[in-house]
Amino acid sequence: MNNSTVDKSFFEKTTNFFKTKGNSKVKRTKGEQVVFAIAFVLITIYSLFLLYHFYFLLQLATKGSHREFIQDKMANNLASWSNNFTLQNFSKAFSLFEVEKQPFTVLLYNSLWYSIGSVLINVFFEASATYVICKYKFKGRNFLYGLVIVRMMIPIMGSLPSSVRTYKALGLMNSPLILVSAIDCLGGGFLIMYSFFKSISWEYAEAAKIDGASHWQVYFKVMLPMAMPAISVVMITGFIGRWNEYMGICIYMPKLPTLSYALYVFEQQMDYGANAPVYFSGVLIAAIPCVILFLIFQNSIMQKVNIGGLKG
Amino acid sequence: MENTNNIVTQKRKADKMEIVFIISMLILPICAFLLFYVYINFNSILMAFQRPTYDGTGAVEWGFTNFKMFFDSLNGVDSDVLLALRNTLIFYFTNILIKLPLSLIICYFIYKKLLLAKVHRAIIYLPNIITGTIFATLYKYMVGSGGPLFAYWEQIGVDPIYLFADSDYAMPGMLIFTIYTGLGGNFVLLGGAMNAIDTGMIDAGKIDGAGPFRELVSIIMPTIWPTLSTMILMSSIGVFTADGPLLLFTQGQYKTMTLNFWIFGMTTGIGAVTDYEYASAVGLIFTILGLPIVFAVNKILGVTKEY
Repeated sequence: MNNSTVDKSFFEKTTNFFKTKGNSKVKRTKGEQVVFAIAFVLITIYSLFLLYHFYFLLQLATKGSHREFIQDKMANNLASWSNNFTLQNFSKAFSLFEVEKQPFTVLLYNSLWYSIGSVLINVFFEASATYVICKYKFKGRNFLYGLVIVRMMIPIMGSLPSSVRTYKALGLMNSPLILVSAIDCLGGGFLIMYSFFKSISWEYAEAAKIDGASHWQVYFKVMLPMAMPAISVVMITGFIGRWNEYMGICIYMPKLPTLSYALYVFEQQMDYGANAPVYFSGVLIAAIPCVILFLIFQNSIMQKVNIGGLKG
Repeated sequence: MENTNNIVTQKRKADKMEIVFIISMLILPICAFLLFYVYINFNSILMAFQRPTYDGTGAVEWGFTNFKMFFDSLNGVDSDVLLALRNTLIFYFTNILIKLPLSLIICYFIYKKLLLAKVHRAIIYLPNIITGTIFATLYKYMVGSGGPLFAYWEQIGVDPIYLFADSDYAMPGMLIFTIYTGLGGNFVLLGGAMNAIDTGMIDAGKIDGAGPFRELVSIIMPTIWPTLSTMILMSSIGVFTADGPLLLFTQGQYKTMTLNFWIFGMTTGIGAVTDYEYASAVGLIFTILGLPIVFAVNKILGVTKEY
């Protein structure tokens, strides 16, 4: 594939969006207006339905007591505002919410170190490896690129038992050492990062080298900062993914429950007398970090991620 | 002469530094790749041919017992594996035939700056940034006893249906959930591709009188085809790993088992039984069955074809 076409098309893709914000200079015809009106109504209904989940969640989280929750449930009246409306459940969530004898604060702490730690490790190594494979010509370079593609093209099913056995043998289960597995980075995000590095001209590196910079200095001081917009998107989406993970936690670290996994466990135990309104308050609190991150970075997330196919 | 020697040594030194740099950047990722991908998968293939002797020594017998167990299990009318295969395919086709086209249509209207486009985009994307546990729990309470749907049924005098405790409704109930929470997931890639389209082309189509449908099918879809075809290929690669949020809803009960969840259950013991070796063998069988599908879809879509 021709390098220069990739560079050009990538920049065009990202900059075109701004130029074409209005999208079209041609006015909509009457027929189109009708189509757009119908689409607007349908999409609005869909959006409102999604938002209704949070409305309902607030109704559940502000019930006066667990008893009231049960009474409402029996009376098919869960979707209603409580007469004993209270916001205290939110503060109670911090003291009462407990899974595997771990209080809410510990769950929050586990979520934080797991999400931030594995994202930082993963993205650091992914960026380093991708940069070298993208910018340096060395023996085995194409082989490594091919390996990543093969790994993506052939998902091996049923390796979970083997994986569990290996993690156990290495002492990674139920341990912060699990973060070591985040070094394994030659997979998913590779292509996105590859296209970003490819779009950065090598001339910057040449200029830095003439000024006497070493390979490490070129990478850390010149190239890495330039790739930061892309890297931050990979980091944010990676963080959100790990914060929300529950199946992986269920397999590899159930004794170090994170918030997302705890919500799952708590929900399973609900029939056995857990405090429902407090649980739903915890649910709402758990959702906040990702929602805030998304609202801040939504434009970057939506516009900076581009894959144009797998062609190397 | 001395000068040229100097340059040569400097160049050699630079080459050496380059090699050291490349190694320093790649050594750990390659080791991790060898351990977490190569070793684990190689070991998984070996496990598929092992059968524990269950004599307390942890010894294993080598052979095809696991594969025999699999083919024997296919004979039963109520074969778990066949049911899991059926459900897996249902999830896969829901992805390709329902979720992707719906995403594409909604994404098109957002791209065309429908009223409140950005607000819609953020809301529809929400299920992707909040843990599945939350939406799933709320959905369960909305359609479960005590929730608004039950209240509505009571009002109109219809017998309530317990969606996730009924074999007839559990799968459809879960499919509806995966559809309505999964449409935003494709926005990132589809939206990125649409924003890269040259507006001149769209305007030219308009001047020629192309309506929204023509515009989407004849202008936008061919232009974003590299992205679209990659997405279809990625889904098809994982055809046998297609799955829904079973852990949150039915844990594979009420005829909702999928292949992926079956392996998950066999590993974690959620289905009450653990059998690492059998799960590895079944996984291996479906990995091999999936290969021709990957190649066929790739060939049809031409995703990895060189220009």
